[in-house]
Amino acid sequence: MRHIKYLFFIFLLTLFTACDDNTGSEKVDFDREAFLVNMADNVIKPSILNFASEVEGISVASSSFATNPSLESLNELRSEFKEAWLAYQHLAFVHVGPVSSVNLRDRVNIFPTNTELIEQNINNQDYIIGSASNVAAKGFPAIDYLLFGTGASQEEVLSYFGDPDLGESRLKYLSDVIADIQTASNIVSEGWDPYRETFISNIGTDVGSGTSLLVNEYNFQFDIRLKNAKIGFPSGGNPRTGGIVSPQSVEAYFSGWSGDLAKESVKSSIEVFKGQAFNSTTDGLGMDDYLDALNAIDRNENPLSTSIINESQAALDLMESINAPYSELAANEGSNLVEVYNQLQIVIPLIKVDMTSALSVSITFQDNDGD
Amino acid sequence: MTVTNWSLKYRPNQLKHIAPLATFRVAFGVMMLASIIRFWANGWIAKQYIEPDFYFPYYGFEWIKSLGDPGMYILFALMGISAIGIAFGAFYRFSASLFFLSFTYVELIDKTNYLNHYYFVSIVAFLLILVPANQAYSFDAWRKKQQSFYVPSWTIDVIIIQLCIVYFFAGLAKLQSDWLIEALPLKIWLPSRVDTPLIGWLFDYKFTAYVFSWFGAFYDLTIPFFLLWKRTRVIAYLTVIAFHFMTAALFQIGMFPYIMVLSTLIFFSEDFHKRLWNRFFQNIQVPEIQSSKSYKLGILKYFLIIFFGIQLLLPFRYTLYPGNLFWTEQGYRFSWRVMLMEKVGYSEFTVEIPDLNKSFKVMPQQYLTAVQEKMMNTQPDMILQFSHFLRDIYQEEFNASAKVFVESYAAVNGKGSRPFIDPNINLASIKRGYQHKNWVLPYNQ
Repeated sequence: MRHIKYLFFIFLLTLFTACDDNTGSEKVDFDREAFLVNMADNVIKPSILNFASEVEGISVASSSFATNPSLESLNELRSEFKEAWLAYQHLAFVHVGPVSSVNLRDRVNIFPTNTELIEQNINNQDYIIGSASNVAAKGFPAIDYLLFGTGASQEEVLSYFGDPDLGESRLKYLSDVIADIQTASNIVSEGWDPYRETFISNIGTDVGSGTSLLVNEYNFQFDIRLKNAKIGFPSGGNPRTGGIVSPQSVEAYFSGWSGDLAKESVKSSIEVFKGQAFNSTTDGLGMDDYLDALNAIDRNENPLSTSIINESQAALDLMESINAPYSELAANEGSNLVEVYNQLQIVIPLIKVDMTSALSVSITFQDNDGD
Repeated sequence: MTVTNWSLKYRPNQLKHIAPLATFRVAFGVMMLASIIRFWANGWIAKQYIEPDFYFPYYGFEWIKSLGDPGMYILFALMGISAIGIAFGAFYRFSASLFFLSFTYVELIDKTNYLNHYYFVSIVAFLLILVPANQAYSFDAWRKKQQSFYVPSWTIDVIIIQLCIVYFFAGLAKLQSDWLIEALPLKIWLPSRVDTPLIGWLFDYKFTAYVFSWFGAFYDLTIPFFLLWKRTRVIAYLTVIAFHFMTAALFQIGMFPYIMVLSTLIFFSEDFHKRLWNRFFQNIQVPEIQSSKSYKLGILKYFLIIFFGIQLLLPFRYTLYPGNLFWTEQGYRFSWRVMLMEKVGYSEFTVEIPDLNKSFKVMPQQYLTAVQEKMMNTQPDMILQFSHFLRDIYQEEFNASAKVFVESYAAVNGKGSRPFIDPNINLASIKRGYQHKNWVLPYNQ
């Protein structure tokens, strides 16, 4: 027995001498619950409410457009529509809880939209807007087509809806698409409060925890829906794709708002990352603070949070210098959209590799070796 | 079983009471059955072996394929039945063989699911085929109306040696600076477990990561010796229970902790196990030592020497490759490197069809499950396999030769992501094999 005590003593001795005081007492100083509460109450909930009220705005404008189609009501509808689409960009980064269970991304923002299918639906009038086959014929991109793609001028759009044969059906399709967005929006806003407790109570980072959901969805939105869909596919993205460009696949092809929406998306990404309260400059506890508390650094030994913000901001700055709609730019091989793509790509390993690794976010319940 | 047996005069054919081996047989069978039921209930059979469109077979084992639905379920059912057979000692040799073959077959389908624990299970199942663990306290003995209570000591010792190898190499692998000096990756993992009941708050302190790291290394390196030594055995076993239950609470490592807790019972004395068995078989007359000719070691000795010799060398094969083991992973598998690194990666593939002047960006998640993608992103040999898969499907679709390039990043132990695979190398033209992967970029550029 004495031998054991002796060995144990040596073991403890080596242990205490091995780590000096600085490392020894150091602590991860971060209130995880406060982080989740901030994300829930100041970031996610206000953006859900804002989205809901913007969607309500389109709905009202579309009713008055339907009862009284005029240049004025069309303009009003278009501007309400833009506000709602911009509002959605924020929610896309916080695709958790009810936002994710209604699958908002696929439900309201699949682009490019399928104009043939839309016209076919209008002609046949036997569509079910919620059916899986109609995902590419509804949501914001469908409205984009209906309000901008159906005529070169506002007068032509008006006459599209004023058509004696199909006008009624076209207006109905428009209101069905908007109603579908509104249904989703209602489910999301009603679902948030009941879900909030689940979200903030799991302060670990295993599958299904608030942090894990936030980080995984943030990454998905940034990589797949922002970098690839908004910039990469239309412009040919990576120079190696040999100049295969597809300008018609930009977001908001008909209205030409692609740039505004993409900029809003990058801006939202930075705000969500910083835990900035929605529609305010109050900077609460965000993923940046979490990474700082963990002392996460990038390979050049800079704070990881700073690198992510700076590289994202650099992409935003590049985008600010671009004026033309992305569909026009994308048509030219090697356009400055490729630069934007490359700058966004710099952010990807930082958020998908460094951040997930620093936070130790799990992707599955499956057993692992720790390797 | 005492330490003195390990002197130079080790006599493998000396007869021992079968009780420790019989306990091990039951424990292993029951644990395996529980693992299979758990695996099935979690829906992992479908998720891991039926749903994926593509698998990552081991080099040389490409002929091993998923049996699909219901094939995989039938295979798992057979595996479960054979585990019951092992536990009861029923048609034992056949059950052990069937279990070994079915379990190993499943493990060989997809590298994604490689775990050191599964490798351990395959090896032990193989060893169980060789030993007569069904000679007593078993269905077979009852069926043949013939109990035989003595087995040559090697039949127990091979299991003990195997357990020692696992612990020792796991400990040896921890003797490196990331683990000991920086307490990595525990310093990354523990803070993410602050929601653990009771002790969670401890994990925010870096000190805790150091204690766990040092204790873990010390534990792995020494526990076999403390278990072998009679005077420390009980305390050592309590440590085994505490250590493995702790890891079970903290990490998603499934059944492994429980398997180890029960397996290490084999270190206990003959008397301990006899008393255990006497509770259930009170009226058994244990005859005098009988001879057990059929299990004398004989020629099997040479086989076992080679078998364990390979196991002792395999963990060192990484020394044959240049570069950082954690980065290139050349020689990483089958070396008991458990809980050793936090590695995350990202990859995006480009397929070029030069003849048609076309190229395509491929996101791996179009073809892979989340787990497959995660594992591939950090393991160069899997990136190569996936590139070949892409090459083949694109060549077939366009009926022209395809080139495959990857843009990838990885980070080890939170030390910053860096470029992983050379993006200018056409992976379609690289052959699989054991040669050095010079297309993995150097860790420090």
